[in-house]
Amino acid sequence: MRGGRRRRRPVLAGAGALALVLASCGSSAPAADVSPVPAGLPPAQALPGSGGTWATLAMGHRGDPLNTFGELFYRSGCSGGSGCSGGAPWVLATPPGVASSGGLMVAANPDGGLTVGFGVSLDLRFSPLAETTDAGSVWSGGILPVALAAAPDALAALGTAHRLALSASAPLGTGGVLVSGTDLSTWSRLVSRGTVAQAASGAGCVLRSLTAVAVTSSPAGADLVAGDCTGGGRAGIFRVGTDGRPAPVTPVGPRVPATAGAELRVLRLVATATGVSALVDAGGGSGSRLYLATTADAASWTVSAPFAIGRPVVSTSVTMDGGFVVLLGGDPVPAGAVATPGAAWRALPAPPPGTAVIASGTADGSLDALVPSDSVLEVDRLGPSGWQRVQELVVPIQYGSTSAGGGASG
Amino acid sequence: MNMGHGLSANDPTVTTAFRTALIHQFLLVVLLATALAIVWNSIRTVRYQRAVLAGGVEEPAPLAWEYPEPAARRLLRIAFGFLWIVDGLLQTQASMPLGLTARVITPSAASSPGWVQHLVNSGVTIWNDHPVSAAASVVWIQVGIGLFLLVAPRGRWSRTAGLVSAGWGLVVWVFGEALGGLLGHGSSWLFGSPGAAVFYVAAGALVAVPDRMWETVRVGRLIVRVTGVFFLAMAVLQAWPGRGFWSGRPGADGAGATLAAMERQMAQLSQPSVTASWVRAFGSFTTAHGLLVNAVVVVALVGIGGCFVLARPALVRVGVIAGSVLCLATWVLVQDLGFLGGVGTDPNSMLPMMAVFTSGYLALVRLPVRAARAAPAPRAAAAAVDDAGQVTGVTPVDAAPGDAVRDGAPAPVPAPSGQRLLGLHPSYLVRCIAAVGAVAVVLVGAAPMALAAANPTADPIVNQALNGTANVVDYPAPGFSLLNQSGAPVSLRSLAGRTVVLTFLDPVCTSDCPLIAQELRVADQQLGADATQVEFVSIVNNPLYTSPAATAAFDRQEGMGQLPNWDFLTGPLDQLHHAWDSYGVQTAVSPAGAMTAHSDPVFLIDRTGRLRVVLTSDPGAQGDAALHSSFSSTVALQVRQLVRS
Repeated sequence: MRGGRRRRRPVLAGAGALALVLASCGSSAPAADVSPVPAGLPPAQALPGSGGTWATLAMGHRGDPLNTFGELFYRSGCSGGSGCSGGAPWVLATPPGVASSGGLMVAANPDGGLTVGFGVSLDLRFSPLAETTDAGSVWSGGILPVALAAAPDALAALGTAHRLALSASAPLGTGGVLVSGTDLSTWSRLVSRGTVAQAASGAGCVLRSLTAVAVTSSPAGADLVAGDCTGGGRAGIFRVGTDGRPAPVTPVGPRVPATAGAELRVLRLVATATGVSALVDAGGGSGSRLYLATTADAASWTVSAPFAIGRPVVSTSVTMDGGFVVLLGGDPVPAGAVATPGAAWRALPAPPPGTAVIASGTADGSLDALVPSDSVLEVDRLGPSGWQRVQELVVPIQYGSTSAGGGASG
Repeated sequence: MNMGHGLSANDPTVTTAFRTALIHQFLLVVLLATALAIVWNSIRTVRYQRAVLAGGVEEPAPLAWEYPEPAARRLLRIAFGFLWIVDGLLQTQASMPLGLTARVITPSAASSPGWVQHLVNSGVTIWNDHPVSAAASVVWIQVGIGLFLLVAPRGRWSRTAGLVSAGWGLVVWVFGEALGGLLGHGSSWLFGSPGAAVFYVAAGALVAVPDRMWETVRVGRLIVRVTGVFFLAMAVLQAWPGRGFWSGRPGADGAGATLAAMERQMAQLSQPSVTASWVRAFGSFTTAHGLLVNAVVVVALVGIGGCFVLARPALVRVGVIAGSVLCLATWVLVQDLGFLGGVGTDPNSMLPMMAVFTSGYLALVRLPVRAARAAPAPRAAAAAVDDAGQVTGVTPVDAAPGDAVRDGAPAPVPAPSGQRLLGLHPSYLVRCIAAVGAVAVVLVGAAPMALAAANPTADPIVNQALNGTANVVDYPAPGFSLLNQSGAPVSLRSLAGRTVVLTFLDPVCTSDCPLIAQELRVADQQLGADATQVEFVSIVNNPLYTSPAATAAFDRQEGMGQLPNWDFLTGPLDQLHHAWDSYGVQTAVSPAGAMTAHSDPVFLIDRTGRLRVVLTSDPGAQGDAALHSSFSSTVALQVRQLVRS
């Protein structure tokens, strides 16, 4: 055995050296950071706002929880013309004042605003909030008295007077949905996890966990909550009424064909201009299939044909028309696919290694792969000839800022 | 695992405090010795006066026991008495308070199973919380036990000394040696497995057994056979393949050469050049001839173990000689005398092991001879003393050595209650008083150790060592006027008459601020009744999160609502800026998801509104539990001084 190993070593070394040489010839850009995001952080996501596209993802030293930060980026929707020739670039828009080591959850408001929730981290066990109405120039702060769930759709907003927040079951609170008053710091419980589980049970499904909230603008002001359901063959989406105590919860999720007994995970639940879109994962594991479900009235759904993925979903983003762009894991090359309402799933050319999320532009529908590498965000745009690097953005990450100690900073 | 405080083992603040504590305790010991000397002299005087009144002063008869102390027991008692004293003196090394847990205990437990580490960590936590008092305590406990063994050769006092020795040895074995590393990887007889303290426990237990058990060869046989089995087991462990002892050079995967690696490590310790050169030379030899060295060790262990297991005196004698040679060689060439390097706590396992198996041999071949009955002699007579030290009879001094008698000797005159002390044989009395002194020395160490173990809050010395002493100032504190978490106005003027602990905290901070709040809560508890005269006040230190909702969420998170004397103040940004500026508190909003950077000093304001103390340190997110806890002790200490001034 030893002799065999010895003979092979020069060959391996030579191959390694060759690979290094080829790699260095092929690109002068820094290698993408493909280290896993620390556990407990929400997955990256992107979503359209009224004026442009927002994206959140983890950056920094992603193997080190103390030096990983959730960052928020914004790309204006302008498409060429004065001021943004060649398309607007992505800019850093992370709200200040709070360490984002617990990641960021965002909700786009139909009136053009964005609500951001900070995930809990270290000794902070409730979620500060921030809201902007001018694409991140000015932020106002708020407080959610419990920990926000680390899920892409843990926040939802319809104007400044109606927001929903999905709370984590730990470390504070017992899980459930909170609803805000006019103030970003005034919250009350809308429905508990137990009440939703009870409604789910009535529909023949066992609720595993709550994963998303949404407030629809059409029908106006309907509060939806989604979760992972096993059994019943119906996605775990529920409408929460306001007339009653506890609030009545009605299963409204779509039936997904040929999934009876399977676990149906609602990965995304978003309100769109025309209704609601949901991304549902059926089965899990290597036999996993994705479905796009859309509704105009939060009652009757249109469910897409299944899209077999066979690998884990890394991140998702929402398109302007209520579809989803899905990034699938893969080593070394990830994969991507787009689901558009009323159309078949479309596979994308393999995005660059290290891609955290694929964002869809609001104006031109362009697809941008956002690739974090320590403090640098690389943007690759999908063109006719594949993915092309269009931007490198240096993010001024303050390493060590969450564990300064020694009295220098807090 | 608690890994210490990030302080140097020779931190001057801690080492100075350690030296001071040792000097204080030494003076206490001198005081106790003086008091006992006075007691002894007083008793002598009373006895002399009584003797004069009774008609004359006679030389006291020599003290004789029913039979002499068995040689094996005497060896154990004296050897381990000296070993404990040496161990105690080694504990006086300056780096002990901060170095012992980080350099010795934690590494030795690192490869042990989780439950062992958990067990060890409970002791480490106590030590790290109270490094000075714990280190000083161990000095006196061990010196006291050593003296106790030496001064009490016979009777109940002596057996009690054995029990105390065994008990403390067990504590050291569990908490200081992580069960001797027996359950960890890489344990080896050469490196000290199963831990020196095991032999202290065994020796203490043997000293504690009743005297009559030494009259037969059973104890000796038991000792040598157990030692033999132990040697054979160690031989198997040493010969076990794949543990890196059979080669002197590391393999292709970097593993192996365990002994040579250990040698290199030992040679790098600070020590006299001569011992370093011995260890280095043997290390080189091991590197070149690893197989041979291990083969010799294994064969020697098997041979010695076999001699002991057979328990025949001639073979045991060979085993003792060979074992002693092997132990001494290992002690010098592998264990580097065991105590060099600044945090060595004992001479390691070889010397105590030698004492144990040699005592086994003596117990096998030198049995104590019980005194034969003898007729009273007309000339001088020696007093026979029972286990309690009371005179039970007399025996002629010209009888055969050790031939004291109990039966047939004149019955002792029963001493009246309360006068037993005066009835003791003078020689035994001296030893009793010396034993009391030794116990007192043990208590000089054990009392602060018990207090430390019962106190969950770390000593202020840890915080002081890391962050320096508090800044003492004396000028009027800048005023402020803000709203507390209930919306009630609070100003410095409104707090007149109370001592104020003022901090600046960020309610959405992820690290330092929650820790500071928790430690302020602990400080409030430590203040006890004094807390009623104290107000803990914090001013929001984040320009973006100033709402009462933010302070309320922080209070709920940290349980600060339980403190009736807690105010978390906020208000308009201009007033907050005024407070930050007037106290020199810095605040900076940083981009890209960084926490708002701010300094977080603690200001202590006396009841007249004068700023008296500024603590520029904080527990720190990177500090350990001991440092956090020490911060609260520091605050409580300073506040108490202000309240009572």
